[in-house]
Amino acid sequence: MNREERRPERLNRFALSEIIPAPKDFIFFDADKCTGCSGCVVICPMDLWKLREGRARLAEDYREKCMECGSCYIACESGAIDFTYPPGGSGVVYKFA
Amino acid sequence: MESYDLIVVGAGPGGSVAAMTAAEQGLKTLVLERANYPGEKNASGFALSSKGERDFPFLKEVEFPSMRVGRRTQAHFLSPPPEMEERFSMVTTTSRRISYPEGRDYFVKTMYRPELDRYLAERAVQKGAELKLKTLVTGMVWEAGKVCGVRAEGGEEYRAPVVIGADGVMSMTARMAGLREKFGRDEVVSLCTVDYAVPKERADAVIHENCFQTYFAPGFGGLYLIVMADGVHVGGPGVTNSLISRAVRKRVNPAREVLEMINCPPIQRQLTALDARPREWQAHMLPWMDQFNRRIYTGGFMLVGDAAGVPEPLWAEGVWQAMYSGRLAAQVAQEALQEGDTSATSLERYCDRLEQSPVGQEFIAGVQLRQLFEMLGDPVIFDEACDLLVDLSNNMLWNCQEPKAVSINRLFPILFENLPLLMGMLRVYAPILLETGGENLRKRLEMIKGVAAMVSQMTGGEVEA
Repeated sequence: MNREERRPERLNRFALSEIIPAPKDFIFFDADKCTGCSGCVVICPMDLWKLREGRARLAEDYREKCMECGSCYIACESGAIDFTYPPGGSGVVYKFA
Repeated sequence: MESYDLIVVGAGPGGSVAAMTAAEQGLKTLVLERANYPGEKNASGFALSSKGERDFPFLKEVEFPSMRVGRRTQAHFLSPPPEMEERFSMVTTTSRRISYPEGRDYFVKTMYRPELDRYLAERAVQKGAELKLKTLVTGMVWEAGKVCGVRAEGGEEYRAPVVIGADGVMSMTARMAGLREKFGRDEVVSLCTVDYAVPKERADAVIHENCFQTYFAPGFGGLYLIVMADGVHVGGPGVTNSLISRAVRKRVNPAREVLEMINCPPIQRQLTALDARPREWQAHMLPWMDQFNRRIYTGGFMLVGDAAGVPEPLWAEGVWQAMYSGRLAAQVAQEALQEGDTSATSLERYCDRLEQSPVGQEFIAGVQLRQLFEMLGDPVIFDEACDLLVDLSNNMLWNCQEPKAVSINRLFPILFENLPLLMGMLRVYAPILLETGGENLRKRLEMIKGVAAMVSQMTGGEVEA
């Protein structure tokens, strides 16, 4: 592999992560509480939060992409984001952590 | 409903050590783990310091396929972006003054966490603990104001007079036990890692024992490059940008920062030399408390490991701390069960002992040292510090550009010019010295006075004491 191929913009975070999609939701977002501070948008390592019309919005397919780090939950100060874990046996799979 | 003496939630190093300790003491122990195998989930420790073998001698016998012994460590200081080339780098071995033999022998053994976690969980099972995988705990069972069991997602109840929460930084058991809703934005860092596959012969040839390397650049936090037997972790960002509150304030996305910094030429050269191929992307959080967390117990319940916020406050090392706290919690559980009192008052001794233990001791100097590192987060101070290191080494030894006498005469002006920086460092070190070794400090100062008088005599009064 040459240097060019290893450049970070070519590191595809999604291709490099393995996730068993959770059969049900584990992040709960209450748009009424969101103040649009965008903490979650800044912090998410997978860019799963976007700001639309002054409020955060979670990607619909987050269960296939979320690394369960919980940083959105910590970053949110308005209590709009609630995080639990995906059901046992599902979610992110680390083989080389 | 099944009954046990002790239930442990989470089969990471903290949970498994708690379980093996309890099972060894004859307690009927259950471990609940949400993953398909121990180490599959939010595990981020990639190295076990020599403290592990000191305190858990059984680890001496263990060889994991991914294990590499780190007898050297290297720090690389880089120039500002966009160049980001090496300005100063230093390799060090362990200090001969370290107080125990394993610590003199090596810094860390690097390894993949699934190997370590599986081994520890299997050992807990061998000692008699029961391990249930793919089981997420969703509730606590309470009785007379005390935790007396847990409820799994399927509704099953497991009862025990003591429950240990070892479920990591995003501890749901801490929340369910009412100890905290979540860690604060100033108490947690976000870390992202790229794992690369590396041919073992290449890693042996290029890295050998220098498998714990850090890269610092002004304005960036920093990156670590950790080499296992046949893999590399490049991750970060370090101190300055990874605290959630700071990342949000500076609007720095930790993932993008890591991906950008991996691009710097020195890291790329290492990866090229290692023939490294990207294999896995990881993102997780670590607790990074600035004081010892005392909200780690309540009636019938104790927190261990990351869930308790025990990682050391400078480097955020946490695997040994998790194991240490896990063992202590299991010992306290055993005592409390024998006394027939598992109330919060009875379990408070866990917190007291942990605070007095080496785990708690880490917090004394760690927080102040962290401030020193945070000073380096300022691009100007970082640059000054690099200048100092480069000036000293170039003018003391490596100068081939000018007559040696000229460069050696520069040493005093260099030190003088850097007084503000050195004073800044003193501000960090003096309080630690005074708190932990004031007597020692006074002795050394007396010695310096004696030496100064001698120097004065030897130079015939040319240098005044």
